[in-house]
Amino acid sequence: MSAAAAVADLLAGLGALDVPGVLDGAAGTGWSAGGTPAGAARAGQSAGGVLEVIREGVRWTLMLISALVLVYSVAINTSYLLLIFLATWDAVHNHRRLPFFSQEDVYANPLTPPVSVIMPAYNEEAGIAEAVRSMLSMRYPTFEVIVVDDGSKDGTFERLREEHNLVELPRVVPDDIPMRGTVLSTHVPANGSTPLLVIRKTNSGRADALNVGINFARHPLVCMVDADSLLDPSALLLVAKPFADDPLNVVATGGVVRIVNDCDVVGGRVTRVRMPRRWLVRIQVMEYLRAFLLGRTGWSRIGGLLIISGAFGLFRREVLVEVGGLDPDSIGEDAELVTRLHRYLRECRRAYRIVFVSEPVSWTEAPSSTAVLARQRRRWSRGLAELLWKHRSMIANPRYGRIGVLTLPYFVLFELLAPVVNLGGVALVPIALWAGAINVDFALALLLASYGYAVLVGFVALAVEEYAFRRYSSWRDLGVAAAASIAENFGYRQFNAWWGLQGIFAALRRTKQVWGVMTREGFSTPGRPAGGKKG
Amino acid sequence: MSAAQLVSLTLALLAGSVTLLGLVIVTGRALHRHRDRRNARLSAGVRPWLLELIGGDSEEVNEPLLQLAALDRRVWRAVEPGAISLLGKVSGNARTAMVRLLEQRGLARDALRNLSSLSSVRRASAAHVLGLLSHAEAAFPLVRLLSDRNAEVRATAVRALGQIGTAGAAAPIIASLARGGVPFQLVAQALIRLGPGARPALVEALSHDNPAERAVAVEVLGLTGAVETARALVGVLAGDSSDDVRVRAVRALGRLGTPVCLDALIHATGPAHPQAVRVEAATALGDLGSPRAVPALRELLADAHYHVAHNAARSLARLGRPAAAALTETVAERAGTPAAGHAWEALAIQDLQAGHPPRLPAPVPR
Repeated sequence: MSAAAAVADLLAGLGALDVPGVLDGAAGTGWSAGGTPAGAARAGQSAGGVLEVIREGVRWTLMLISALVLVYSVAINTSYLLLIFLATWDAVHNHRRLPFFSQEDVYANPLTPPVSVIMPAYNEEAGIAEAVRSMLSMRYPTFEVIVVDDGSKDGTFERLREEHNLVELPRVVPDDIPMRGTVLSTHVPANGSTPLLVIRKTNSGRADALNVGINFARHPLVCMVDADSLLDPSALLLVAKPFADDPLNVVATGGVVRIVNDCDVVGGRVTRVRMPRRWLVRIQVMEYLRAFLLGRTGWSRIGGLLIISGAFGLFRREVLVEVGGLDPDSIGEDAELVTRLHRYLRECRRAYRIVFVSEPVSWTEAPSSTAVLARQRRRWSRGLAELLWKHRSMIANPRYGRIGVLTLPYFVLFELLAPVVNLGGVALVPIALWAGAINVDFALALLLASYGYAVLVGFVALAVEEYAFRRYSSWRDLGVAAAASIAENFGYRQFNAWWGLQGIFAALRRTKQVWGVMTREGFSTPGRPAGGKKG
Repeated sequence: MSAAQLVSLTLALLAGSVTLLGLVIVTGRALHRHRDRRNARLSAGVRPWLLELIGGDSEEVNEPLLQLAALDRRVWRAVEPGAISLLGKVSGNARTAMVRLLEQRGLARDALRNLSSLSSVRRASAAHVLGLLSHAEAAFPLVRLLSDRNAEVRATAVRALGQIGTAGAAAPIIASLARGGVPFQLVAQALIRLGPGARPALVEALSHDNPAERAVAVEVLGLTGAVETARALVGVLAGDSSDDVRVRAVRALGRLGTPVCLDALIHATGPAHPQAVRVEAATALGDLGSPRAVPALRELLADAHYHVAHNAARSLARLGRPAAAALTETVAERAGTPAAGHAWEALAIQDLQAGHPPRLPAPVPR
């Protein structure tokens, strides 16, 4: 991923031919024609010169770092490849089950557990009515929808009141989980039968709004969704299936989040999946496929799932109450919650499973401008850094099983540190120039190899998508997806690393957490122009 | 090999792999589309016969049955998945006609043979088809399949036995939970389909060591209205070591609704029981629907645990007029307390259900 660029950037500024143990034997092959001779000769010529000694020291240090970065680059892409292979195993398994197990098994079963769907909403006037309508028409035996209006300053509540003829229904406010905001009023549809509850409260952030929703939830399973997300009609059925299959052990399941930009949406349903028009979003489609869908499926397969997206996750309510709900002080509250669940259940020595389900889909709008994307990535990076710091005692601790010895060290090494390694390489280029260790041809070849490996990983992900899901049906979309897999390496990864680094610094400086404004373009609906939703 | 050669080789390998993968993706999609188009073309000509078969009276189906039974293998392969899927969706005469067709096409015979196939996918497919056909002869081999090494095969066997309805399979179906990998709700569904004949095995399972087996037995007895087992379920509620099983017992008693259930449920709302049991008991009293529960539920409105009080209020709202007086009295007598708040909510729900605007109380304290 980002390390591929790091290798290239670093080696572009190095006498890469001398990297011990990695690139032995390159000298004198003709590849070094554009560069300087090997270090030993140079050191001999300049013996006695202090500057030359420093320069030589720098050269060797850079070589060592280059070797480490090269190994890092290969390791990170190989890890993605392994996760994708694990996900492929899962996809093949699910594919084979299709003829024998239908959604009807879950829908018609009287033991399918009821679900409370919680949608926190802040200034969602433009899309809230459609989102709630879509949620209420989900195919599921018994469920309720709880919208928590988190002190919206726009007409979010009014839109809901008009749409569902809401009337106030007084409720005693439950306090299983501590809450920061104050509940102002609770409302239900006047028809008395639509399973909708709207809670108005003072603004206190998404995590606290979800905690309020969990407190009010009546059903044993709680599904957290974003108010700007659209679910496939059968998404709840599929994501709840692990709970029905293994009711004594499953405590949480996560569903896939895909990108809805430029897809056709009718009546709150995605009716036709298309590749987005902008390259920035197209690249994110491939990134979501590789990292979110296949990566998380792979982690789930080995029992090491750490992140369930806040846009679509299902949890056992009683366990959420036991761990105290979401942490309102965490900017990556969804991953922090799952980590805390692992920690709590391991410490209690309880048998449990946290499962990722690759088929149900929640559709969400991805940032289509660089500024919004930058904010999002800074927030993610900061959230990860804070999460890992908060739960640092779990890292490499066998007490926490695979999460402790495998997942968390992986996240430290390949998620948190990736921007550091990537941009560290860029920073070393001027030093390498000063040290006079440049071999442009060889560096370019390695650059190509590094990017080539990353492209290969992207193509493997695309092949799995094509085999198992086939969401993008047109040939053009397939071509665009392939092109996006290549384009991702040129600029996108490097900027991502930069924003990631900014997020880490923000976590280190402990500056005030700001979610920022996510400018939305709305869902495109045939025959109707896209709305101008702002969230 | 020099570093330059190594890098060149790596580049060539990567380029080759990416190109190969690209070709695999494109070829896979092209083949898939071709197969879909061919199957759609082949089955389009046959679909009217299928519709005639499932839509006609018993005498009218002979012609389409003959036509479909005589289809050549290539066409039938395109039609078969749709026909099998259709079988799960139809009933009555349509189902009988479809079963006749599939039997004539030799599906049952092939499936029986495939139950011992080396491929787990074939074994599972075979069990699936035999279940859809309700093929009674398959019961014994399907019971054997409950100890198959593959979890999917065991699961399809469980479902198929439920569809066939062999009550004697109840005990091995329950025992299949012990091996793991068989979905809990699938076992429950199969046991429900077996009907009253499964009850002796279910009652026996109430004393099994595995909590999942006890839990499924409790659920199925409640869902199938096995009122004669109410006392046994009361025993589970009183003494089972698993809270989850006890919660399920509460739910089952609420569904059965006999007097003995009512007394046990009222007792289960007491402070000696775990909170989860008390919360479920407050709901189950509403499911049961007896006005005799009103005094107990009214007391629960003042319970310190939110969900016990809230569920009691919801249950009272469901009990209609007898509960309305108790709710109004609570509002008057306990004004300003959470109990009054819960009572207001229940009254408001009753208003909404009666088509009136809900009455609003004075501000409710937290």
